[in-house]
Parts: sequence; C-alpha cells; structure tokens
Amino acid sequence: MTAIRDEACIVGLGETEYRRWGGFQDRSELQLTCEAIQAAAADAGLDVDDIDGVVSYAMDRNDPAFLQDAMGLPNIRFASQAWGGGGAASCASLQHAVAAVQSGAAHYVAAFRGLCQGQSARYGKFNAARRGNNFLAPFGMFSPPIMMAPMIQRYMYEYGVKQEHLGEIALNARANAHRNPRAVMRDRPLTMETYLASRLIASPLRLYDCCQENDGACAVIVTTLERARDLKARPVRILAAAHMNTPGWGAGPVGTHNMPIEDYGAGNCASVAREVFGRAGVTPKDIDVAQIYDHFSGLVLMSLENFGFCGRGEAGDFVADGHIRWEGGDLPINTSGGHLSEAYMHGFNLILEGARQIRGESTSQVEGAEICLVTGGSGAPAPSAAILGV
Amino acid sequence: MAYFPPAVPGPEPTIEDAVFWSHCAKSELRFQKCASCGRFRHPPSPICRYCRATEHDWVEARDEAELFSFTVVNYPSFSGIEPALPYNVAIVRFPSFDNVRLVSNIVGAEPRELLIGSRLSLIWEDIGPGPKLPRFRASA
Repeated sequence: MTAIRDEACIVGLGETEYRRWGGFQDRSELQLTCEAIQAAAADAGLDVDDIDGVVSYAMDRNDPAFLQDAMGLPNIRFASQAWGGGGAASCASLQHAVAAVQSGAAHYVAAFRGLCQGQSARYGKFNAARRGNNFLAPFGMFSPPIMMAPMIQRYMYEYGVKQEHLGEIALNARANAHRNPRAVMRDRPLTMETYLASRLIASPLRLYDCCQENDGACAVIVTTLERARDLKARPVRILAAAHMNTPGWGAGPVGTHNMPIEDYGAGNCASVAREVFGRAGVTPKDIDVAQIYDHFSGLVLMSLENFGFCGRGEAGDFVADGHIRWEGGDLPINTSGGHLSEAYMHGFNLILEGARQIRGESTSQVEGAEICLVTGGSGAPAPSAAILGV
Repeated sequence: MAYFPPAVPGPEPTIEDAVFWSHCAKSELRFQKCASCGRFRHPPSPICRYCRATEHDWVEARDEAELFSFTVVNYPSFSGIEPALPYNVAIVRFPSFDNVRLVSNIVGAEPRELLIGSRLSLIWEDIGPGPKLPRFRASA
C-alpha cells in the first residue's frame, strides 16, 4: 500500500490552441510541445528547470533529447514512451509517470503529446511502414477507419445497434463542444438529420463517426502528493493507471482481425477495465464522469460495455436513454467535446479534461465530480485507462 | 478486371509470411496448423500461441469460407485508389479452421448484396509480379 504522501497526482495542465489538421504553419510541432509543457509547469507553479522526467507514448516525434535541447532542461533523469499505436497508450504515459515519481527516479514528470500532422504524415492515410501490411494494404485496408469499421459492423449486427445510437455519440460530443471555447467544432451545430445525411467513410462509419485530425499539443505535470503541497495547483490524484491487451487480441483490428472470436465486437478494453478498477479500488458505480476515447463512435459504445456501465450489447439503448448527456445524464462523457468535437490529441486532451472535472474547472462541469475515468484507445492494441480523483 | 488499380501495393513477403505467399503463388490458400496441439493460426507466426510449439504444417482451405463482417469504403486513404471507390473489405472466416479470419474482398457484389453469414467461394487474382491474391465471390 502506497503511503498517502507518496501517492501520485497531476499538478499542472498545459495546452496550446487546437487547430484542424495542417492548421499550424507558423510554429513547429516541437515548439508547440515545449509551449504545452511550459504552460503545465506554470499552471502548477513549478520552475521548468525542476522537470526531471518526460514521458509520452506511441510514435511521439518529440523525443527527450530534442526537448532537453529545445527547453534547456538541466536534469532529465527519467524518460520513457509507452508502446502501442496512436493514442491507445495515452493513459499508460501516466502509469510511467506514476512509476517514476513513486520510485524516486524523478520528482516532476511532464507527460505530453505533441501532434502536428500537417508537418509530418496524416494518421488517417496509408502508412507503408505498418507491420503486417501484407495482409491489409493489398486488400484495401489502408487506414484506421477501414480497420475499425468491420468490428463495429459486426457489433451492430450481433446486438441490433442502430445508426442513431452511433449518432448519439457524435451529437453528445458536439453539444459539449458548444460550451468549450477550446473546441475546434465549438461553433458548428450538428443534428441527427445532418449526421444521418453525412457522407459515408467506411460503413457503418459516416463522417461524424470519425474523430477529427488536429494539430496542437498538451501536457500534464505528475508528482507526489507530498511535493504537490509546495505547489499552487490543486492536486488531482491518479488513483490508478493501467495498460493492457485482452488475451489473444494481438494486433486485433489493425492486424488481420484474428482476435478471439467471442470478443470480436467487444472493443478490447475488458482486461484494462478490470485492472484499473481493481487497482483504484472503485467500481463503475463510483464514476461521476468519464472521458471515453472516441476515435470512432461505435467504439465508445463498446467501451461503455467493457468498463461496466451497461451490459454487453446494451450500450445503444444506454446512450439513447440519455445517460451520457451532461444535462440530465448520470454518466456524462466527453465533456470537452472529446476527439470528435474538441480535438484529436491522441487521447491526451481527454486526460486534461478529466483533471479539469476533478478541479471543478470544466466548461461542462459535473457538479461535485470526485472520480473520473479516462480511457486511452480501444480496439487497437493496447488500450490504457486511468482513474482520477479528488 | 482487377479489383484495385495497379497503384495498390501487392504483398512484399517477409521472413514471417513468405511461406504463406509462396502457396498463394501456386493458387493455394493454406493456413498454419500447429503440429503439436493441432490449432490453426493466422497471420503466420513462428510460435503457437496456445502451446508454444514451433513445428507446424500448412493445410489448404478450399470451400469453407463465410462472410464474418465487412465494410464498404467510400473515401480515398491511399493515393490512386479513387477509381475503385466504393469498394468493400471483407473479414472472411473459416469455421473448420478454428475460425481463422482473412482480410480480403468480395468481387462482383453490390454493397447491398453483402450479407454477414453468407457463404463465399475462393478465387485467385493475378496482380502481375509477385504472389496472386485470394479474393472471394458469393457462393451460388
């Protein structure tokens, strides 16, 4: 059992403006990343020189040597990157940060994502370097929407989930984005009619079922409760952060779709859910608000089931009944607008929103929120999750 | 007519999957079967995930395929794919091979004709140099 003073917490939140893909031509991805980390330190009341650890995940281009050089960080003594594709490991970066501050390897760890796809490769396009491509690209399976779509199609077929249920995920995100000035889609209304009429990307996924592609950066500072006492920001406790694949899942839908057949339309989060709830010592009933990784609408439905908020195959009816709405729902989700409508920062902006809810600072604040679940990825290997608390 | 324009890359066999593609070059779809526990696996891998044995056989799959799931794609995420839109990507299941699945395409079918659970027949498509590709048609 960790002594209270050694418990890990988030003490600083920093982010740049978010823009649509290609929106930053005046500043580099590295610069944006440095700006986000400096903003997080300022929010915490921490001298940037005191940052002695940096962590990110999956293919972040801003590696510690560049950051150290760019920001003149004098004492980087812990650096790591969690494995997995895209944003699956977003919350795993917190797990690494927690391990670092609790072991004494570092005292103040900056966890971050910097993402300017306009300056490198677009995530939604074909990536020739993807391992296992021989079984995918010759058959037209080039990019994440195409990879995830058959899983969602099968899920809808097995459980009678309707297109409107997917649409509710998009509409909820947009409604929350309207209250959030940081959200890229803050001024863009969306109705069910517009959703249903939007163009087909990869059936059953329509345009608004797919996350945006954005440029920007965001970061948090992680330390121990003991050290947080000397800082100005209200600490947000990390009750647990976990990172796990379902047994036998392998590459799953970003591979040849040979995950266990009974779990095919089930999202790959059952294991990480068990792990994160078990270590945090809480149950789904204790969750006041959740930030559910929304790369694709249908996978949010599967996550609601995997994380135990409703039974297998019940998420369509669950969202249709209004449970996930900020107004009137008992489990508001994606209160910043999420990836669908705030920005797609590979999951990391969901961690900031989770922390804001615990600090009472969200633009869609859930009154009295004490425990927030944040998830990283689903479908793709290997998803992660974190539970944040007061 | 080929299902995709020539710009779409064919397989470039690696040390892990070269045997699979060498069978495809002979119009044979063969899956790996563990010589120790008898379980099938795909994609090719050096070790059986169930019993960790490395010895294996390659067993031919002929007419056991079924449409497990699919997507109809209508956006170009690969430069040169535009003329093929909309196209389908199928997840083809082989029930008598421990349900291994192959990512492929159903040729000669309109999107509305794609039905989960339908029986499929294997066909081979010659895409020029390199191995032939296993694709499928709806069974009569």
